Amino acid sequence: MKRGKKSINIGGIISAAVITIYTVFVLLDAFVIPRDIVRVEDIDVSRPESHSSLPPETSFFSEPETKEESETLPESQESSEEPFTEPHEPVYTDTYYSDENITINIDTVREHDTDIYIADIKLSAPSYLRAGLANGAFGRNVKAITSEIAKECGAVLAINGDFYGFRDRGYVMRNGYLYRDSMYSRDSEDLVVYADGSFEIVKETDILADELAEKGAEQIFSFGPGLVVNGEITVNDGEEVEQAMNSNPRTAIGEIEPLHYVFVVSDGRTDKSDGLSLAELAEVMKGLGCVNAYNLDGGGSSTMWFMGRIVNNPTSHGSSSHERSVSDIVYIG
Amino acid sequence: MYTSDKKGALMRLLIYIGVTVFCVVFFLVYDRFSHGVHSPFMTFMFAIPMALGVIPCGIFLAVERQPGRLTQNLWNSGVAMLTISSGLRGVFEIAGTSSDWRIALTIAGAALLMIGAIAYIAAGRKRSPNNSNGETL
Repeated sequence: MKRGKKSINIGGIISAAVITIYTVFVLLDAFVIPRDIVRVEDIDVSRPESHSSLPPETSFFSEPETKEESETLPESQESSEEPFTEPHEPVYTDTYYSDENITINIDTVREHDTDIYIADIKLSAPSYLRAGLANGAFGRNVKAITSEIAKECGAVLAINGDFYGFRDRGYVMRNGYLYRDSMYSRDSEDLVVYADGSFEIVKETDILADELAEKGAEQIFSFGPGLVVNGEITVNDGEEVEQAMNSNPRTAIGEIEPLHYVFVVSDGRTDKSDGLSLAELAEVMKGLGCVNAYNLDGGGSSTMWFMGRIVNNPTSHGSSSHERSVSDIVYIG
Repeated sequence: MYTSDKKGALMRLLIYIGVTVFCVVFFLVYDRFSHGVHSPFMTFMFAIPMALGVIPCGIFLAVERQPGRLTQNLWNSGVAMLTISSGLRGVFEIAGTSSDWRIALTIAGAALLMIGAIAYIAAGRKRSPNNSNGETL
């Protein structure tokens, strides 16, 4: 038998150290370290054909609405866009907002043992439906909470977006600028918002991001799936994967008719609300009259922000109400 | 000499059983907080140390020729890399993200396993007929 001291396994120690350090790096790179950053202020987004207004007959604002229990908005929150109809003072309550270009009604319904927040939105021009990026920049792991991004953007109403910065692939176009044109996966369905405000749900395998840009895309969201396409529900519990069948907080956006949209956010993962499956969410969107509806990032990301306050109960830390930092928002303002 | 080598093999076997159990516990705990989202790479992560650690170590308890330290280091590192890579992929899939850096772990882990296996075989061929103590690389 061998005698004497047991020698130290230097090779094993070095190997363990290298593997540990590399693993920590991979995790930090995936979840923490910001990279591939493009600042919005450095981008030339001049697109003359963008933000084109629809003919006056499509406007919902020929007869401005008023409410008795209204308040006047601070000047800083007034829209900087050119008014489409005769200007009138913005009026709002906790669940209502109206100015000469935007009308928002927020309703809370309870279905499937879940509180669902529905923002019905009518616009005078498509340019009031916009996207905002965390910290004014595109990039992996560039994050901020929805309410913070909404305030920076001067939003009236906002919901979380597709959290593009959590992935390295998938088309990303925001406010007319194509930030990323790499395909996420064969099954990826994207929401395209065109300059005229119309929605289309496309598969990344069917069309290149550049081609969508040439067709006049203003926004491309890469999360999905599409919930309602051309008036038909396109998901059901039988076809969807496990993640989609589970009840969770959800965020969705839908188009009812030209310049008439809905933002929908459901609670979930709480004692009070179970959450929705994608099929249930699709039923809700269809029931609201959506011609096209699309699932955005959900779970702890699901947040609806309206006039300076959070409408739903975000659950990013277990079941406690807490906003999760996300890459982007969709907002009205 | 045989007694010592068999003790080493037994120790490695126990360690790999511990790693396998840890992988199962890690999956169960992670599963509890993953809101019903699963990944086979997380669920079956335990299979890697079991198939590439527990079973080979069990076999080495029954054979005379034990792998040397370098061979062991190469093999253990390979198993560790593949196990961690599987766990990371599970974490990323459950979170809904991915990382190209993780793939390097898989490739390096597979390469180290191959090198370790080749080293063990090559050392066996080079072994002198009189060298009955089973020492390899």
